[in-house]
Amino acid sequence: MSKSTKVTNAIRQLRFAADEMTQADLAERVGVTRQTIIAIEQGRYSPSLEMAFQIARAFGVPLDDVFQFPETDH
Amino acid sequence: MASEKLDPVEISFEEGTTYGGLVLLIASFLAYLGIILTRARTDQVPLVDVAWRGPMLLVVLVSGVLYGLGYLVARLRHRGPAEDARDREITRYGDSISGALASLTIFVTLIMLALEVDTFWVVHNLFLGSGFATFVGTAARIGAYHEGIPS
Amino acid sequence: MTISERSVWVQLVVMPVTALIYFSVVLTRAADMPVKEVSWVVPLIWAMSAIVGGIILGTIATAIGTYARAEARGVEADLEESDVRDKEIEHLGNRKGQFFTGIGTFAVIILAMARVDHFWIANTMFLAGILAGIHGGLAKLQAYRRGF
Repeated sequence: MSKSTKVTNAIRQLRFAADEMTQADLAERVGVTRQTIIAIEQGRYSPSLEMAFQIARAFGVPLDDVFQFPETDH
Repeated sequence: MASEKLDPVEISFEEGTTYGGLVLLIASFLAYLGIILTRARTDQVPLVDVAWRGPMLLVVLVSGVLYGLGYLVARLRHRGPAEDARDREITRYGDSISGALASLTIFVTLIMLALEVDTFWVVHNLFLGSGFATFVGTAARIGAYHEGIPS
Repeated sequence: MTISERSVWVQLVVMPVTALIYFSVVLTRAADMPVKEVSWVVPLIWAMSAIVGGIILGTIATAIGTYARAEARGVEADLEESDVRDKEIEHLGNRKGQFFTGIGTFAVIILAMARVDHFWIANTMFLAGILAGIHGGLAKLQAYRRGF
């Protein structure tokens, strides 16, 4: 995962569950390149809050189902 | 009906020093231009032959010292961290703009050097171009503090 | 690969190669004669044209190559237009290069104040620009391949 963020995501699983949506499909719906979707899945890129919502909306699920932020003890 | 009180406008430390830097930048460039334009008239020489070295050195040193002192004083008086994630993001945004303009300035300077243009114009293109690059980046940061980083 | 990423790769090849050729030509000349007599102007014009032209042509050529290879195999070519991530990485590159452009600007102004021969001024400026371009390019590449 990316060294700068602790956010993980379930995009890959959600794509397969959504009739095996391809990365290219999702990319087109969100308005980014396929490379960017790959980078997000692999934790190499943090989408903006707006893009995160657009991704969740593409799957028709709430944000929490797409992105997870681990509980940390301070 | 309860009336809503707006949050008082507070300036972060980083934003304050950004304002200060901008004012200082404008003032020093105006001072420099004032000095050499006056010299051109009083010494009665064409602009290219003006003695610009002294004034440039003076203006750069003085404004550098003033900025450093101002920043130090402000930092000592400020309680808490100097910057947060938003400040860093805005600084990065401004730097990307000034960086792009600085590269352009350098490219133009190289072309002037290759065309063997007079040293006066080469140096002033570099000096004023870099100053302009810094100005635009700083102004963009102030805009971002008020209206957010454009997407 | 988007056009932006493609041109970063091309830039990271074109810039160092051109700079190496330019500096070997000019520095060997400077070794044999006083700096005032070295003709660096024409080599510099060549070098700058080679960099600008090389990056543009190289980017187009690799895109055509990728397209041709994909056509031959009957698959879709991996060519996409730049998006917000490319823009963010471009901004990152602009920032990272600033260290060298800043030092270069400072050095050149000092040299000009000291009235040194344009040979030193031009080559210092050129070196700073090359280093800025390479450093920024490497930072962009890392952002593309390994994330921010």
